[in-house]
Amino acid sequence: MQMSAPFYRAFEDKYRGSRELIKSRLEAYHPFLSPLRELHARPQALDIGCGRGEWLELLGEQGFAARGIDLDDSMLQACRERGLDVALSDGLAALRETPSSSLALVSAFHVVEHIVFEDLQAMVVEALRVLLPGGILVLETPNPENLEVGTSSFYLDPSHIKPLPPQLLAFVADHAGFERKTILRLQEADELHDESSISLMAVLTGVSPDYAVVAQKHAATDVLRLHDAAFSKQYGLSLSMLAQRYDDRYALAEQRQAHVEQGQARAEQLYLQAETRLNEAAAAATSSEQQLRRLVAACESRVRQAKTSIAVLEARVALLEQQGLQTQAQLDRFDALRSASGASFIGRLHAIKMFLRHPRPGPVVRLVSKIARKLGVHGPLRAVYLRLRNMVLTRLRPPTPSPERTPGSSVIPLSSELSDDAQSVWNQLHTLSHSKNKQGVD
Amino acid sequence: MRVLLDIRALIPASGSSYAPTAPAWVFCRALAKAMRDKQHDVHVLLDGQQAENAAQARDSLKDILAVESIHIWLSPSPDSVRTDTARKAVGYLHAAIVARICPDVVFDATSVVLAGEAITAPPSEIALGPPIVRATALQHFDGNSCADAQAIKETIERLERAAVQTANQPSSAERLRLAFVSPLPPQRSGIADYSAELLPELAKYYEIELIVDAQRLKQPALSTQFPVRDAAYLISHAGTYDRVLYHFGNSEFHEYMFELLEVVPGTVVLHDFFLGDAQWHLEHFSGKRNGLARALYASHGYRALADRMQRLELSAVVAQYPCSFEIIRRAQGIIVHSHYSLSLLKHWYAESSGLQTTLIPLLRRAAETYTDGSREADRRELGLTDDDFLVCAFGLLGPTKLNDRLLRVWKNSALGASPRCRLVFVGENANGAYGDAIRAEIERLPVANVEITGWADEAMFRRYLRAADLAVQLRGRSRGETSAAILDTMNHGVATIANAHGAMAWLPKDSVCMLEDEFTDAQLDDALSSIWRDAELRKTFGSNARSYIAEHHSPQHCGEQYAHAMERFARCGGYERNPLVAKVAQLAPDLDAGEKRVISSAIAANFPTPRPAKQLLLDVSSMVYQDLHTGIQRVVKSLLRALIESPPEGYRVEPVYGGSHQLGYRYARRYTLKFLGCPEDTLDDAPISFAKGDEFIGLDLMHDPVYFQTPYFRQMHNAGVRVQFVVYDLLPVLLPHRFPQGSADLHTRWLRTIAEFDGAVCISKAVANELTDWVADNAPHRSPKLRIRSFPLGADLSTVASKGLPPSAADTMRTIASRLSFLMVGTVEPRKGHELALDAFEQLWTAGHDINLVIVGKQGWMVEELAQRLRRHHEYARRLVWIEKASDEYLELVYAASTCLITASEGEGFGLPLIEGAQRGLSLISRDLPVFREVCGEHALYFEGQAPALADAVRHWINMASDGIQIRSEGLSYLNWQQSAERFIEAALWKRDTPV
Repeated sequence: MQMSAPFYRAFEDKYRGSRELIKSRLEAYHPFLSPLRELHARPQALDIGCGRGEWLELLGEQGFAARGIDLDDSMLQACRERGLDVALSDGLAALRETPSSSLALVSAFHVVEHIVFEDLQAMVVEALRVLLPGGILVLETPNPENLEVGTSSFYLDPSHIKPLPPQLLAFVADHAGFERKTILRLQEADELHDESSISLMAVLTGVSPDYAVVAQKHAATDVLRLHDAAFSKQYGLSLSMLAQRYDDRYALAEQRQAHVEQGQARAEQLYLQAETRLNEAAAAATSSEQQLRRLVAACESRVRQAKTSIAVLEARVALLEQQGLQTQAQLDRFDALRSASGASFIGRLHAIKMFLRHPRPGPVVRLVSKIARKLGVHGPLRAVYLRLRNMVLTRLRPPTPSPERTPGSSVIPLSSELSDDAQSVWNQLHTLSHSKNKQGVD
Repeated sequence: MRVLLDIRALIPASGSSYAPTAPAWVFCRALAKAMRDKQHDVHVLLDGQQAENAAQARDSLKDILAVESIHIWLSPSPDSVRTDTARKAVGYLHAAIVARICPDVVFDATSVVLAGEAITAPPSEIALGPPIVRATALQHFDGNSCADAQAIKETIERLERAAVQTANQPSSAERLRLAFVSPLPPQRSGIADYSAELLPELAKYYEIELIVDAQRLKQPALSTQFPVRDAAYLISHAGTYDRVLYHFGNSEFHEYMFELLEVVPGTVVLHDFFLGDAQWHLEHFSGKRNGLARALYASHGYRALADRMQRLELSAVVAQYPCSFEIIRRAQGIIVHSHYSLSLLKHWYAESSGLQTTLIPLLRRAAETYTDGSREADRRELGLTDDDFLVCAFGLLGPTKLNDRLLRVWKNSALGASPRCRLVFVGENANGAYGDAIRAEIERLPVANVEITGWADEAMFRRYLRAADLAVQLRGRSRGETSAAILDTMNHGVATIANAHGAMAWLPKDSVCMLEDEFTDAQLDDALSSIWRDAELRKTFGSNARSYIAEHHSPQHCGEQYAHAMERFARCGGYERNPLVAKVAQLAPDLDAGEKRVISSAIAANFPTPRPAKQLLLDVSSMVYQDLHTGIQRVVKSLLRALIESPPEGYRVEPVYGGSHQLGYRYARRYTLKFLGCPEDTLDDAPISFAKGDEFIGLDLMHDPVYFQTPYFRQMHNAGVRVQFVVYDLLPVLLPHRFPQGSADLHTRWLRTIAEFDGAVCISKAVANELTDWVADNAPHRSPKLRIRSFPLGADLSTVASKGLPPSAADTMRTIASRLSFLMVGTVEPRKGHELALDAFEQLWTAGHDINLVIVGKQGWMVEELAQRLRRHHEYARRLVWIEKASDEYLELVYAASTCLITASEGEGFGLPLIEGAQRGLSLISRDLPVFREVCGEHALYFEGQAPALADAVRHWINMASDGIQIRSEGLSYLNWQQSAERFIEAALWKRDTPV
């Protein structure tokens, strides 16, 4: 398919990436290149569709004699400016012009998706012819396993024909008669090499976006042996790998969840067990407490009994003491009485004597009363005498204030005593009234 | 203009109605209001003889005038004042009271009566100080017509015209006569020397005569300059002296002055604030019976008396209590020598801080300045050279002088080590252990530069004063004695080190090297060293000290201050009672004994003397008359004991009593002494005197006396005493059917009486609520004014008061102990619920429970049937025990043998038995009443209702007990009596503001 070269250049400028980036990607092929250097002093290489010549530069650095061909002259101009050996030619034609068993390496990077299948087959057959025994064919092309590539970004380039699954390209090489082949999947993200990182996005878009089929022509065993290591490695990430990883992770997650659920179930069981045990323990404690209380009650009642017995004993002791004291008091009283009886006897005699000595009314009074009795006025006379006597006695006695029973009488007390304050006033009055005064003191 | 309305005669005698004088009363009120509106200072004088009417009159005037402008005075009743002389004396009393109010004009309302009506008291003929305006007779007055308004206006104009400014009293030209009562030299007292120095100065102002103790002193100094008399002369010639000056100190030299001051008032110079030693001397050596005890009681109350009788040694009591109030009270004015004494006055006798006092420094004649030569001569005589450094401590040695500390510091300091420095204690060594210790310490010193001189006469004293380089005067633990020695050292210009103790703290810091009151040894050491080394500092201190003494303590200065103070005391005391007494004394020979007593009481009641603290008058009448050991009396006793132990701040606790035959209360001194365990005859029961600010609290429950003494309470109330009563319960009113006939009326009358006064203190919140409700129903006009508070009773673990067991005690105890016993304690009365308990237990016994019901309590009223039932019960003496009379000892034993206390009362004031039961570990079963809930909280088993409910409760308790889960009463919280007394005081003195 032909398109305008400037268009293609502009396109490549935008999408291809810088030289250094491309070169760094091409480092992946080193394991295949270095054995070739061992076999041949200066291996010959042909790069179909060399583009800007990065691969040619690389090969040159590695010691290869590399030749490149391309259909874009402006690209070739850039190569020539770099001093690379390039020619304007079609890939198939160039291969047909090459003598058999002359090249150590034939490469075509991102070429095969631009040509029809028959041309591709022919190219591969021709490549087999031109390669030396043990020579390497490298065909790199976008990897449709990457779902994004296969469904979308492959078609960004209008000149791509259709995606080539790796198995197909590998089979082409196989069918063509190459001794062995391997698929290198390339340019995947570095972080996806970490086994543990996987996400749905990675599965959809993380598969290696490019792959290369590297095939080797039959050679002697010891020649082939040099490439054994390179051919036995696994390169890149396939869709199945990533999908598998994803599935594994999912399975792992499910497993873990199952574990957790198991654990949870076990925990619930244990919890129920613990609860029952706790209830049992609480019940046991309550019953122990009740037993204890009962024991305490029993103790208390014993103590109470003891206390009451002690109280009874104390009562008896106190009673005895009391009786003892009373008896003692009685004895003392008897003693006192005995000693005093003598004195009291004498006292009683004395009293009798006094009674007998009580003075009778004098002779004058006796005469008067005899006369009064004779006159018959003794009674009234005696009454008059008593009245006079009472009057005299009351005059002599100071009047006592009558007791007041109802409230409302005078409030300054008529008591015969004074409060301390009033007493001191009274003393002062008394003193001052009896002292001699200066004239005119006011 | 201050106007006094003398309305005394308008208050009619009790029994007659207000009607005849009502218009006159309305007139006076209208006059008072009109004058107040004209911005005059209106005062009203009411006669308090009929206390109730006076109180009513005061209340009716309260909306016109401020309370302080309404004065009530107590006149003797007209029946007791019969002779003209007595009436004249009462007139003098009235004049003095009017003069105390200091009005500019007096309006005599006695003549404002309707024509033709008799008036109860004749107008006084005594001339009052201010001019009097007599009212004209009024025909009719009802306050509404304009003629009445005109009458009022006219009266006001007359008053304003008559008012004149009181003229200043002219100062008398001639010299007044002064009686100078003091010990004098050669008596060995510092005060004697002091008086000797003061007399010449005072003689410039007065004609002085010396009054000395003729028994002790034969020939006092200065007898050539002044006439010398003795105490008897002063008593008989008291009227001839214009002023009297007493010098009081704490020694035996002042004994004769105590009696003198009682009868002849005068100015007192208080050299010592603590006079306990002098009082004890009076008691012990001069035969004044119980002198110290009376002094302690008068100044400090029962606590001091109890201390003296029981707890403290004599020396401790005398050191702790000043006992000086009797002197202070009778003084016309008090002169002290230090601020410290003033502060002591305020501390010990706070209530009388309004007394007239003045501060006059101790006088010191300025020491003669002398030449250096004479000083050197003195020093050489003492054996000192010029380089020697002499440190002296002047005064009698003793623990209060801190000599031991000085010695210790001296020993450890640089001065002690130097042989050039000498320390001399100028004074006699102390007796006893202290003196021996000092002497031993001195002998042990490494460098022998310390000595004690022994008793130093004047000459030696002065020699040391002149020779000293440094004086150290320290004091500690003193009681306020002014230190004279330091003034001597300062006077002689000696640099002095002193500590800020007592009076010395007020000396200026630049005249004396002042240490702190509690100084450390290091500080004293620093002071000593710095003054030793720095001669300039010494000189500065010395000269400053000398000039300070010369300025403040010079005899002229002091003498002048004495004269001014005495004149001021005499002048300002013009309205107090001494002049009044002097006037009345002139009439006294003509009064008969009864009238003289009545006049004395009236004078004392209207012009009360100062007292040391406010009185807390507690009515304990029932116990004074008959100690029945009832529950209420136990409460009163416990409160009394707690309050006497720790009286509230600023109050004296005074138990008082009164009867139902004679109005008036007396101090229950003999009873209180017996109560405290002191000899009863130390004090006498005099009638009480009261003044504004006192508190009267009726502690016990006496229906008749309280009702009878109501006029006396009103009189107290009028005088400003707060009257309150303790309410124990309202049971006779709330449960009348449970009490004998007439109890409800009696109790109602009592409640009505007490509701008329200031407040009620109840023994529980429940009772307080009941009382509030009762007052709201029965005396609603008092509801907002009667303050009702409550306080919880205390329950100390009681000591067993009464002992003695009846012979049947042994068997009874065995019965009680043999089974589970349920106890009921309390007099068997209807409301205590014994019948209910008996019914309940009958049910329980029928149901087969083998339990005891023990009842302890004597038979009360209205329970004859129940008593029969109890005594005849078939379980009597088997499972039913009734102990009718139990001493405290017996009761304790019964408590110990019982398990559970039942309280089934229908009503209680507090519920002390519950607490007592809980204290002894019994469980409680009680009726669900608010008061029991208040006391027990959750620590009791409650029942509600009648006998079945109680039976259920007992059954329930037995079941719980067998499981050990019965409600225990251990956690019941209660107060002890000390705490209860505190809460009582809070409630009674209105300290808490939260109601109830």
